Amino acid sequence: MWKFIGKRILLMIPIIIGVSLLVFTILYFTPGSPGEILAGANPQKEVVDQINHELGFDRPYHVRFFEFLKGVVQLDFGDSYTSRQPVIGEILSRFPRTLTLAFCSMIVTAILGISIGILSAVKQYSFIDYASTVVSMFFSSMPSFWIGMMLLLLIAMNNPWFPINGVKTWRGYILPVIAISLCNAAPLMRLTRSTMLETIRSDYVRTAKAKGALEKRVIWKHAFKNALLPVVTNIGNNFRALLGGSVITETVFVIPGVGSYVVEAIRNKNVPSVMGATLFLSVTFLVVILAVDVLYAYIDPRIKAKYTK
Amino acid sequence: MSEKLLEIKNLHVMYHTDLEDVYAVNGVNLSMKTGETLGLVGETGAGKTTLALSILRLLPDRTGRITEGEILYNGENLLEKDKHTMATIRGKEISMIFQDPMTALNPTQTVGQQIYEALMLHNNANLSKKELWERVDSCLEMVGIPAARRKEYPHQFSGGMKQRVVIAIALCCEPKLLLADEPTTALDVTIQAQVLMMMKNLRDRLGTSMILITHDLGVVAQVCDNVGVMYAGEVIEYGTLQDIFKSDKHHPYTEGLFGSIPKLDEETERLAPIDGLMPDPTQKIVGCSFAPRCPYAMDRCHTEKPGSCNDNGHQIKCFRYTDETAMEVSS
Repeated sequence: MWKFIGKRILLMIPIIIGVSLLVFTILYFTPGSPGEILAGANPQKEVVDQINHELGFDRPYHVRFFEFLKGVVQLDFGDSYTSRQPVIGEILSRFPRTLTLAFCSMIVTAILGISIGILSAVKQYSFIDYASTVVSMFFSSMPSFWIGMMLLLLIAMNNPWFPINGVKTWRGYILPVIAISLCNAAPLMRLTRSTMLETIRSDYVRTAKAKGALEKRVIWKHAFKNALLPVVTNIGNNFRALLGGSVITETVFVIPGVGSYVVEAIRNKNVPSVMGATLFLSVTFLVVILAVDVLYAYIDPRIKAKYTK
Repeated sequence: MSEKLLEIKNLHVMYHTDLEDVYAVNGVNLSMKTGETLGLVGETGAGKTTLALSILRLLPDRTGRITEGEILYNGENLLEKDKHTMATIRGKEISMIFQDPMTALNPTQTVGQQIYEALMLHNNANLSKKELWERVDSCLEMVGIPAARRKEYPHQFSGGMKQRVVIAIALCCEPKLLLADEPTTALDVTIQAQVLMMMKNLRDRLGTSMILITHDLGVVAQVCDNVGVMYAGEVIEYGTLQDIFKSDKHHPYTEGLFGSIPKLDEETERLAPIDGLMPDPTQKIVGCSFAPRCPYAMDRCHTEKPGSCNDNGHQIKCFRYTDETAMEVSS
């Protein structure tokens, strides 16, 4: 198992180099330069060139890329073109907000999606099942920013207890977490329902019943764990997507997170910030994927056996 | 207490889906005594498994329905028991071995845990955890698996070994009645013999009564005391092993069944199968269910259901035997 984790961590190195190369090249080929943006409206060419020179943006592609890689090894992504502050510091100051939002949303999503999913599978074709299906269809179809805006309009506007924007206190997280969770829980609930239905009908569940186990025990001890694999994958994917920054939700609720930071940096041709954030997010993505894979091994002994081979 | 361990009276089971109704079991009457082994033979789709599942009330929740009849176990109707009483009967009084060992075990639990669960659920003697695990070990040894392997998962076992685990689960609480649903069908022939011998030995040692469902007449001949032949959801012939294998009187379907087994001492180019197919189970059958395929079919076979002729316990549902004159006409 440890060997498997070690191998996977080593594999991250080429992946990260590949990601850096790809993003760096795309940024290189996109038109525009930071000088044009920083010099203000109707800039003179000399000013633009001078700014680009100061930032080191006029040097050749390979020189800049290797300088970037050199910095990465020393955990230094350079300074942001716009703020002239170290990128790493800027990301680290914003990341906790994104992480909190993503983590809380993931927990609420999992609780809502899994519990309602199981309930509607166990009570298939009952009122609860139909009702939850309709509700989940509704929330699957509604974009999270719309739900976010509705929450602001209907709840935050009338209730000063909820802040309209920002996350200065923990209360600021409640509405965005609800907005994201409702959207993500809806498909998760559908998925949990269908995998549970499949496992409930499987032979080993019948064996468990034939042993004399009551329904509750059969569902939790036998069906649930086997239905969990696709559910964990889905939750992992959601969490990853949220870490990448739920840009839209962050924008609606005016949360200064990583997502809005990257979008801003791309718009300003702020290469060090884009690269730094990309790299940072790639690493967190890879760690989450690895965590999900390790979790698989604890759910399904067959997968564990494959890892240890 | 009734002398009969299990008595099934006029059992009707149907599967109800949105598309169609399937009549799986149509009026089965069977009874067995304590200690007896009853073989149920018949081709695929004859309703054997449905019958076994009905006894344990394990039919699929939404679709399977027992529409008529009684299942008396020690004189008590199982169909009237509530969920909790049923749970105390399952595994402890009546247990079941399933057809496919590959899927019958939970892939995420060790085999030890799965046997332990059965023991723990029926732990009336209040044994401690340690004692229960000792029982698990002895159950594994009983079916010929080293106790050390209890910590392994089903995927680490071969098919034959998995079926042994399934048998250990079924027998660990020493049930009075064992329903074995084609326990050897999914195994290859050499393993089949092993598993069958083991089941036979365990049955004799534990004094368990058994219903053995199979379509292998050889297996029946080795293990069973009495045999019921099922066709289209009915028991069309029932008798002792002697009656079925040695008697001259047979239901035409049983004749066909034996006729379709190749014989070693006769030179034959082709097998002699029964012409035609089983009747469509979505249609209610009028008359004898075998009539369309029966070489002796008379007009009345298509319109009337034959009763059961009883010749010292050898029961045949056919007009040829219920009505002696008709037999003479046809022969």
